[in-house]
Amino acid sequence: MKVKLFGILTLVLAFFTINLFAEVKTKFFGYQWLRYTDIVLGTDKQGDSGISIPRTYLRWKMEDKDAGWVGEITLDIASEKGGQVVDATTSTITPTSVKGKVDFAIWPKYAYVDFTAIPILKDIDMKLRVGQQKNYFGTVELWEYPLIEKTITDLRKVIASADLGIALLGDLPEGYGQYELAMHNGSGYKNLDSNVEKQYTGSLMLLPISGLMLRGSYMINNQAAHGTDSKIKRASDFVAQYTINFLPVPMQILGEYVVVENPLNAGVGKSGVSEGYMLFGSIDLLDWMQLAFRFDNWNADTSKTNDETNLYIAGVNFKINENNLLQINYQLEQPQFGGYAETSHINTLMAQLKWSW
Amino acid sequence: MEKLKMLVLSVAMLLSFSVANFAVKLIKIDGSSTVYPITEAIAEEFQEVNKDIKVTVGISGTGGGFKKFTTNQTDISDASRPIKTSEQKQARLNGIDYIELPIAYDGLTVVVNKNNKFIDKMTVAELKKLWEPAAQNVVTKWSQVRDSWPAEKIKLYGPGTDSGTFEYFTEAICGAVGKIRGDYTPSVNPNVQVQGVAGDKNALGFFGLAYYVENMDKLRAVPIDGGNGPVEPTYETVQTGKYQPLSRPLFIYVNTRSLGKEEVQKFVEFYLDNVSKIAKEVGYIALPENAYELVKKKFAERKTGTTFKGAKVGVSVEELLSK
Repeated sequence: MKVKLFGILTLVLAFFTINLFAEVKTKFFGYQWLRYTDIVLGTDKQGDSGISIPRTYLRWKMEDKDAGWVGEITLDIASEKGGQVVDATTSTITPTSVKGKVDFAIWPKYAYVDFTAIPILKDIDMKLRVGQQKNYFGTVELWEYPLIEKTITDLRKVIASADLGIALLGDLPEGYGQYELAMHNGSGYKNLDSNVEKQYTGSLMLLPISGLMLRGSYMINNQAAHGTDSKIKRASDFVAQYTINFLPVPMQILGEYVVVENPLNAGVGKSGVSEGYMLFGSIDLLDWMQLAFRFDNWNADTSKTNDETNLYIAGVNFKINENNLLQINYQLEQPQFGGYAETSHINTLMAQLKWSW
Repeated sequence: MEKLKMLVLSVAMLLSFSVANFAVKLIKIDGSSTVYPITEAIAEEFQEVNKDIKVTVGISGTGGGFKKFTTNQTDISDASRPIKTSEQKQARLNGIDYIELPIAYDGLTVVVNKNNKFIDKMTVAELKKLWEPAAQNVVTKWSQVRDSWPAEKIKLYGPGTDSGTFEYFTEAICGAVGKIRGDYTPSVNPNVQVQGVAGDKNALGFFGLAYYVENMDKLRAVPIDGGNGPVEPTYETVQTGKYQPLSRPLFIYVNTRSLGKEEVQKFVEFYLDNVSKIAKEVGYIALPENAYELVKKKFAERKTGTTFKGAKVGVSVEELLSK
């Protein structure tokens, strides 16, 4: 753990040192989410409610075209529950009498360098990325949060949104798509040390006609420690998205299907196979107003019945100006346990101001 | 219910600040600072005769402009280079089709004093040796650039750092925008450079070809060897792309969806009708007249995509437009 943390900190320090002494082009960005959340469990039980700052991102981008590199550092200042004491495992707010962890952390979410001028690779629009970086899998790196909730692969922890490792990223000629081959740590950017084997991902995105995107992704993640039997988690994902831009009112529709085989979840009466899909649609009613809808179905174990979860989300986005977006979302999570009993529903109302500079 | 009312009220208050902006017909343009003077001048003239239309022209740079353009935030993108593969990809992903319209040429001229007899030509490597940051306070005599040149003290003039000329020159010669030695005399007014170089036989400067043509009696243009032998900057060598790496076509990219708005259609037509005259007025080189006819035809036919990306040096705009 210490070695890896030291590695990341060294990379962060290297960037700032370069920034100070070298003639590189540097840009600084910031993003913050200010959120109001009101959760009602079942029909009338009050869940978490309050205003929080779940995310603040501070981002530096640096490049030296002459030397052929581009780098990025993004610090993720996270506080989902407003800095309160939360249960160390579940991250739910604990009563004051119960000990837990403080819900606050600063993570180096991205800390990577792209080498853009490697001979041969450069000629085929390919670059090498080294460091803590995005995972290219399904919608996990494409999701720009038109709704406040995470995308299905992130929400159901199929794959982390960022991880440490190396990747080859390439563009198909004439903008017809992209592909990625990566070897990552496999435990996500918050748990760098929980696994000594590596995760391999491959993804191919095709853009056959303007607005249509098809993407297939595959992941193999050996969750075993050295010297133990391999426990290989496999995940396949397919995304189809169509953006209709020629109509007076632009629209987007997206479907994603993911299936995960995880031997750690298999056992008596358990298949260890999960699957789910996400359907999303948005309409840009006006330049400054967008409506968005989503339906997810997540089947945690395909051999069990009544263990599926449905998630319905409706949202409206108001673009106040270039740097400020107001989002209002209502979401209903419907676990199927007990045959859609209303008492198991989770109703969440969220209003969020995203601002950037 | 009370919470919902509070939310609705807050939304209404926030939106009241922004909704007013959408009452006027708005054309959003962003992109290259090099193309900016042309677009801005045309936008001004257009707004004089179309009082109900507001045109905003930003200067995020070509890359920054494409970032907005390919995510549907602007109607038109100013560009001092053709669209890149990664930008084409982003446009396809977001269902954005575009028309690529070359509008003028940018040609930079390296000038020396009329009485300077030793600089017959310069290679790109020599220019780099002279202007790169490492040359600051080190390369101070002409003999350090080429052995056969005299050991006379070099005096350098250049444009201000905010200019597109500065960006273009530093990128083309020193390899990155803004990469340049600091010990030269900068000026936002090219005429200051003209006076400086005209008054010192060991001086060198660079600016748009239009300024050189106006001052040919006092200055001499240095032929540049970009790898295919020395080429003198002239309207012909710039227009045919032979003068490399210091000449390039400039573009606007139009989102075809935006053409559904009458004001954007009208503006682009006005742009193409007037760019030849205005490009010259603001110091750029107009395309040949037949090229403008081809550009107008391309726009009228709504021909989408790029024909300029990856084009070979020396291929004329007309040839590329005919593709």
